[in-house]
Amino acid sequence: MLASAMSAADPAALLAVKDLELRTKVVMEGVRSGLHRSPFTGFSAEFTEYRQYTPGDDLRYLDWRAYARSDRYYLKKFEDETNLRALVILDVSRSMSFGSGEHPKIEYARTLAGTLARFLHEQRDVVGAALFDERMERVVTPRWRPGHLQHIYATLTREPSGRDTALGPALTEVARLCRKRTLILLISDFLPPVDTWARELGELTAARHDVRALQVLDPAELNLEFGRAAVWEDLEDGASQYVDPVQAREGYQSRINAHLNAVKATFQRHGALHHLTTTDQPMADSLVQFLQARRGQPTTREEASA
Amino acid sequence: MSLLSPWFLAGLFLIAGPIVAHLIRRATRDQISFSALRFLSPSTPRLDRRSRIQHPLLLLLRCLIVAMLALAFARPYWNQSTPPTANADPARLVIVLLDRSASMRSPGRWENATEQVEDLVENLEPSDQFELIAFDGTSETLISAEQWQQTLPSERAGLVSAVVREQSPTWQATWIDNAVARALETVRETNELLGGGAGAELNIVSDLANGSRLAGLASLDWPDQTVVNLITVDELEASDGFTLQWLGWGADQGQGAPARVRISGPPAATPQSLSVQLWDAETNEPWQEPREIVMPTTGTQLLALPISSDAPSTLRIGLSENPAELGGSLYIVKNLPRELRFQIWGNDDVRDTNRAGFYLQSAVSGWQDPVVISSTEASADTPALHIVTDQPDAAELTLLQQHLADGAFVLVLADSTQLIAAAAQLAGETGWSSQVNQPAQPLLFGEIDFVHPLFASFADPRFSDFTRIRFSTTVDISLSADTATQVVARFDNEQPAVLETPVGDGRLVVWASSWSPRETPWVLSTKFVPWLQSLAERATGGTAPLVVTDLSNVDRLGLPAGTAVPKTTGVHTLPGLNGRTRSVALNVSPSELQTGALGWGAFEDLGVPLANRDSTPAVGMEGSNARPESGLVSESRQRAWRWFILIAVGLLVIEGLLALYFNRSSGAEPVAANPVN
Repeated sequence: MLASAMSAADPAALLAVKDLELRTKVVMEGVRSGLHRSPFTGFSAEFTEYRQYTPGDDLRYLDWRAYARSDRYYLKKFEDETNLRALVILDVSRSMSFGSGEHPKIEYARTLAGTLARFLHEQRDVVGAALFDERMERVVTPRWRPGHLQHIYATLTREPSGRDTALGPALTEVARLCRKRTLILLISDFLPPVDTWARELGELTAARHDVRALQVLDPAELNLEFGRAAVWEDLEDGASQYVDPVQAREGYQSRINAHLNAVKATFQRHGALHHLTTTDQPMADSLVQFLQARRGQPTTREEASA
Repeated sequence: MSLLSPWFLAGLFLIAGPIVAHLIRRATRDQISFSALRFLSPSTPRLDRRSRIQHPLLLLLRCLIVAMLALAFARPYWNQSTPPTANADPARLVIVLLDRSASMRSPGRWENATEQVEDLVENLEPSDQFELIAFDGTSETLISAEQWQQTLPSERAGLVSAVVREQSPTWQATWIDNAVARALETVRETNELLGGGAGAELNIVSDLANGSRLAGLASLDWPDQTVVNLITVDELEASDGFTLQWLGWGADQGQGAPARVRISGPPAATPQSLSVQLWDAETNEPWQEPREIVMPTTGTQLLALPISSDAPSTLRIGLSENPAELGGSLYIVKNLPRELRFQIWGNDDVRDTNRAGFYLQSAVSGWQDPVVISSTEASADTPALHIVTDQPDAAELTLLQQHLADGAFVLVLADSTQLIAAAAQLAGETGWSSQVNQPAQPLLFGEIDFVHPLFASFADPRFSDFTRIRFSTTVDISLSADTATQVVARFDNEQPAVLETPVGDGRLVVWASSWSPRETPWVLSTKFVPWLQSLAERATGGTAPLVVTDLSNVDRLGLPAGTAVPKTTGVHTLPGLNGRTRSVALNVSPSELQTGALGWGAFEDLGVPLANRDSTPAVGMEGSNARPESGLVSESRQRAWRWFILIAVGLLVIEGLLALYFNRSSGAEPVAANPVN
């Protein structure tokens, strides 16, 4: 009732709701609605019994008998596969606490993580969660049992105590934890230098894990339309310097774009999906786009046109 | 602009608070947290021409608020030194009430009071209205507002000085309430004349002695904007001298009635000895040897001084040691017995219990005043009361008419038609007719005029029951239509029972019945003696008058209209009601002997709007209290502090709105870092 009354289109209004479970419920409804309108069904469709054929699908898995019965193309390749193992990994470092609006990035990312976990859980997939900052904070092993989703919510809402982002060691730890093939959903701002975590990402994808990265940024981090001439302090390492945003904007934008390109290129090189969203985007839209993205395909219209 | 409480300006130092707060806030808000500092290159700091103070307008408002509050508490006022203009505030009315009661006779007080009045007048504005009222037991306007208006401003101070210097303290009591009531009448008249309250200032220049009468102040209705200044003329201390206060005559124990006197003085650690002496008031010679008394430590002693019969009629009681300046001696007049003379016109044997003479003799036996009853014409003193019991002959009638014309009272006990005819002849009226009436049932008094002096003493319901007095034989009297005779009582058959008529200077009283116990129990009743005594006292000139009293009780002496009221202490010869003179001793009012200072709380308790209640109550002889009082009065009239408070509140509202605006506008920029720890 409350969930339907709330709009998932306004992230600020949604994030004003304190309860993470309720937020995920609202976003979930938006995700379902978005998926029904789409010809794509997302990664979860690979594990259903039948799925409608979509252009680009491997024709080897087409179910010809079903085609003969219904005159429609269905894929049946995975109808005998077991449930998917998934792990949602959330970055809770201090850089995620930045927000130019009323809410920081971490709240947005936390809601996305909770919604993804709920989405997978409702498909009867085994799902787990992990938090990291300068080290792996908490890990909820992927399982499917009653109350497990609430356990994940409780873990996601825990306040972190660390400061820096140590993405490389976190990925190494994930590789150690996940012995079986796992869908790894990585949610972070990916602001640390690429070379500090690219090798660990390669090791993870080489272990046949399906890695999908959701990069969450504040709009101000993209354009620097924020702040005033003052002493600025880094949230993670505490370094400070005098910054006049008017003066620094141009150089900043070029550097952050270069960094984002490097991030995207790194994921592409390692065959992992990457999707960038900002905290002013409706969460359901962000998730739908994320779910619809195919490996190696552009995730947004802007990327496609580029 | 002047300040009544300038020390509150120290509150201006609190302005430092907002300034420091603004500096501190700037320092703390100059840090901005960001997540991707490594992508930012350091900027070259620009030369910031702005003041380090953040939001200088807000700071200015906050400083102004503090300053306004400090100024309001300092109670500012403006001196009215500028010449009045047509648009100036309406002139205030200044009324000075100058105490000239007996207590002002203490050395230095009166001189100081007159100086205070002169100082006060010098500080008046030319546009101010002024009235000077001198008061003691009465109030007298010395300078009216009209007289003040008609005097040139340059001559006003001289006028006040001349009028005040003509005055001197009287021996009267201090009735402040009467004087203030009179002043308030002037205030109301002025307000009505000007069509609104212009503000009035009552300055009571007095020693404010304890004995001053204030009770009437409680019932006064104070007009708006009326304030009272109490200007004490002297540091009052209780007098260290001894005073004498008259308490009355004591019971005569055979050696003459003693004079009862209270001696009061300051309390002492050890009993003191005093000597009291009687002086002849006429010759001012000592009449008796001093009498030693011992004053207890409480400082109060009651004394009964025996006054022998051979003492002079007028005396002064004096103290040999340390008499007070005021009330140190006491004048007294001996209470001489008054002889009441009755004459019976008839053949009354005083041993005959059926005749009036017997009961007259019995009734007067216990009287304090000596009574002489005679049955023959006395040559020396004309009796005051003549009682006719038998039919007088023509010569006696002539004599009685003569006595009546001279002012005597004649009582006719008319038990026959002949006596009624004689009474009508004495009254000088014709047309009276009479008839002896012996009713089957005894008659009662049916109607009595208790307002008339004959029966006034029975007016109280406790004494007005005459139903036990019955009459078996009466005389029915018919008066002429144009008669001047007043029917004082009637029988229950509506026939006149007691008549009174003025004849010459005297009065004729007719009793329409016999006094014989066989006819009526009247002479045996408890009402007979008081009735007879009131008649006898009326015939002799009224009740025994006061012979020793004080100057505040002069109106109780019963002086005939037009008599000059004595205003000084001493023995005065005053006229009585019946044309005779008498000696009366007048002393200082006892209230004036209470010379301790009156607390100002007494005025406040009675609702007096004091203007200078916050300042020191008493001002020394050399102290000039005119200027600070003037400031107080100006401040209380202007009440400028209210405007400063209003301005401060207005600034506070503007400051709040501005702060809200700045907060919102700046809040859009740097919400940034709310680090989640």
